[in-house]
Amino acid sequence: MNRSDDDRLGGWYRALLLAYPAAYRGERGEEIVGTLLDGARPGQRWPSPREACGLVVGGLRSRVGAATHRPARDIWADGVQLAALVVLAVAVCRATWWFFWARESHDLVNAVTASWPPGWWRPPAVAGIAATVAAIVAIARGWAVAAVVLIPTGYLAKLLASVFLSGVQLSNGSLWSYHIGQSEQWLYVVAALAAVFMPGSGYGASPKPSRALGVGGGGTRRQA
Amino acid sequence: MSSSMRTPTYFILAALLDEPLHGYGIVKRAEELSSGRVRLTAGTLYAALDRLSSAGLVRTDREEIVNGRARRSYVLTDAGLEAVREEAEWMAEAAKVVTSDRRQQPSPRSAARPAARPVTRTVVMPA
Repeated sequence: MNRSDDDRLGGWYRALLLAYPAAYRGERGEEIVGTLLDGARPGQRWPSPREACGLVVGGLRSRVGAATHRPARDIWADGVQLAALVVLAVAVCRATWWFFWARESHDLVNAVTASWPPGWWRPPAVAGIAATVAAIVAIARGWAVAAVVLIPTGYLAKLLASVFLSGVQLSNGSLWSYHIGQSEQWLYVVAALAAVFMPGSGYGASPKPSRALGVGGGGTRRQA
Repeated sequence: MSSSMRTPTYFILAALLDEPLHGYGIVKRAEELSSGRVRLTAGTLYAALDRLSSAGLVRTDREEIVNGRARRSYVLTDAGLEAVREEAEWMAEAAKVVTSDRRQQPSPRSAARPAARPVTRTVVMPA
């Protein structure tokens, strides 16, 4: 195997190593690539599917912490952080879809929109979605305090937009229960709880951080 | 650690019995020792090596660059040697349960089974 094949195959393996945490890659990445190149067939230019799967699974396991001896609390904290990210991403998608696509086609809401100044819902809707996106960034960066502030802000702004959209009908019950059932508010509750328990929040050292995930599991299941 | 060691882990430790090896050396030796049954991917190998290092069963020896490739070799520690021997003895014990002489004779039940077969057939065939 010549050097250019080495470079090409090594490049593929380096890309697959992105499945591993950056710190691990920095420490062991080149050694793993070296081992993979040692095991390559002469002239091999593409990663073997077996090795590719091995790297992706190994990388994910080391991210979760299953492959290393980390305290269970840290593993839970990472899992909770990941759960919050997923939950907020789903909330952003749902809210964007609801306000900017589905709203148009929904008779229940269109019937009462006229009773409120048209367009008032737009600023709080945009602000709510923006705050939720900011919360995702905050959680990814580990800024727990910012996340704990941004998540309810996003939710309340979005709720305000819903009120502007559906107007007085909120008081008659049916539309309200429709919102309870359909909105992604459970997602926000789950994410806020997760943010409280994530590393860096100061509560990560709580003796039972898994409780946050337990509540989260219930919330998302109800959502589905 | 005895009785809970996974097969790849066992063969990684066994591969290091004779001499320190680098990553690919371990993959090849483990495959050899297991008659081709243990084929480690780099992902599995390094996950196991990390686990074994932090458990103190294996330690890194020296690092070098060969043909532009980074290599680090691994050595079995005394604790690692003890662990793999303990596991080997446990497996030998466990194997005896099945392979000992009294199990070599066919039991009355398995001897009876072939005889039962034609009977079933004659019942089924006409239908």
